[in-house]
Amino acid sequence: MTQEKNLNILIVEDDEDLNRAYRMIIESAGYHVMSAYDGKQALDIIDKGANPAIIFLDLRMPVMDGIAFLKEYKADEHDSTVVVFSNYDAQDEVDQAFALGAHHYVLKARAAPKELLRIISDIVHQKARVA
Amino acid sequence: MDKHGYIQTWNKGAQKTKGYAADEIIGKHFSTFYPEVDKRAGKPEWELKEADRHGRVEDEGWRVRKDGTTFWANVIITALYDTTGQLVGFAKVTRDQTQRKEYEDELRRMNDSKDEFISLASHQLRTPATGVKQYLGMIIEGFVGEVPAAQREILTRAYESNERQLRIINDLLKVAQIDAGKLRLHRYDIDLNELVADVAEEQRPVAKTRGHVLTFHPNKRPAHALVDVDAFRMALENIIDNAGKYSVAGENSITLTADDKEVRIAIADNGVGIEQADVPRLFQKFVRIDNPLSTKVGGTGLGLYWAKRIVDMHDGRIEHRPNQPNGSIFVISLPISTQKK
Repeated sequence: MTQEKNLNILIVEDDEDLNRAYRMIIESAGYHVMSAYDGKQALDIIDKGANPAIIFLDLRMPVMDGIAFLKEYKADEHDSTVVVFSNYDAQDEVDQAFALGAHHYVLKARAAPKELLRIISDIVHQKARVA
Repeated sequence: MDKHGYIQTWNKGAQKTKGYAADEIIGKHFSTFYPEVDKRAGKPEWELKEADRHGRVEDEGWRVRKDGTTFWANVIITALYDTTGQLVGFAKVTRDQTQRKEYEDELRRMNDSKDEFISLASHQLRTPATGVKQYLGMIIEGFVGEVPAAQREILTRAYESNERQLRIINDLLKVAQIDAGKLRLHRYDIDLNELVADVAEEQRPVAKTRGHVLTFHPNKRPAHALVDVDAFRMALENIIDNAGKYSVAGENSITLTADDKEVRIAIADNGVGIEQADVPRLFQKFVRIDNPLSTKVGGTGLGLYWAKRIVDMHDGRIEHRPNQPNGSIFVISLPISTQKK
């Protein structure tokens, strides 16, 4: 269990308030969190050697959006689980993100803090089972 | 005009609209008034043929004045016959509709920019509202320590208000998306008995808090249709929620029936009902029908509009009928699927 909690989680979200909120929620459960505010920053963090177990990825962002990030990142060459932040009216983008290797999606307007943590623990347990 | 389209008589009105004096135009062919592209396509001749065949033809399009400028015209050509039924010529009335067309175009542009504005504003509002949800959620869910009951109650109310705001924003965005033609359905062959039972089950707790019993009467046999489960589910939820909001207490029922052509889902309530005169406006965007409960019950006037658009995209229909002795029945009909599995 302690080993699971040492996992790195990367949040890619351009809105500062939301990024901080997600960070506080996830850190409260004992995970280590990194924040990026666009796809380019996320790639930089990964290039510097960070190996996040989970990436929470917003789709609409300035500089480099979520889709452009996924094209560069190539999820199938990494073992990160990519969770896309989605909205009711972003069906096309979610379809596109899944085609580019995203694994899950969360409806931003619906997921309350505890649901966010439940998604993380589901992924962590799944990873533990596979390993 | 004679029967070949050569102009025989001319009047003041025609002179004012098109700029020709009588002696300049009598004897000329009426195709003179058409733009080159229409002439090449044979439109003037085609219109005469149509007028002869049906007695009359009406058209709207660009026409050319003497000075080369164009105007948007409404044109009616009526065939004239002699006593033996022989075609002798045509009467043609042209009205300048340029101003009306300009108004219509302007109205369309304004409507488009209104839709664009709503969509933009909603996008901008959604992110901060999501932030409020997360921060209040953290406090209520005890992330930063125990919250005294009195404070928790107030925070929960703030959270619920914000949830309502998020729902409205999302409704606006969903409608903007469908109006822009950006919603694509992923339709699969499913048994609607199962989907409707599922939705009814989910809606039952909400119905209970309103003092309703929500019952579901399935079809005896499976009733398959090609359905986008997420979209159709939300459309159904909108109708059921609507029925629940506008009725006081008692039973609201969902009945599924099918024949060899259609699956029909009837959602019946015993609520305030809808005046016959209001029915045509029921499915229009932003329309909320005045009734004794409408001020008490929140709504954006988007739920039924969106539901209708979704049902239309499923090649289905949605209709309203009065329930006896009071209330409404909404009937959704979808073409039955005969795909063999």
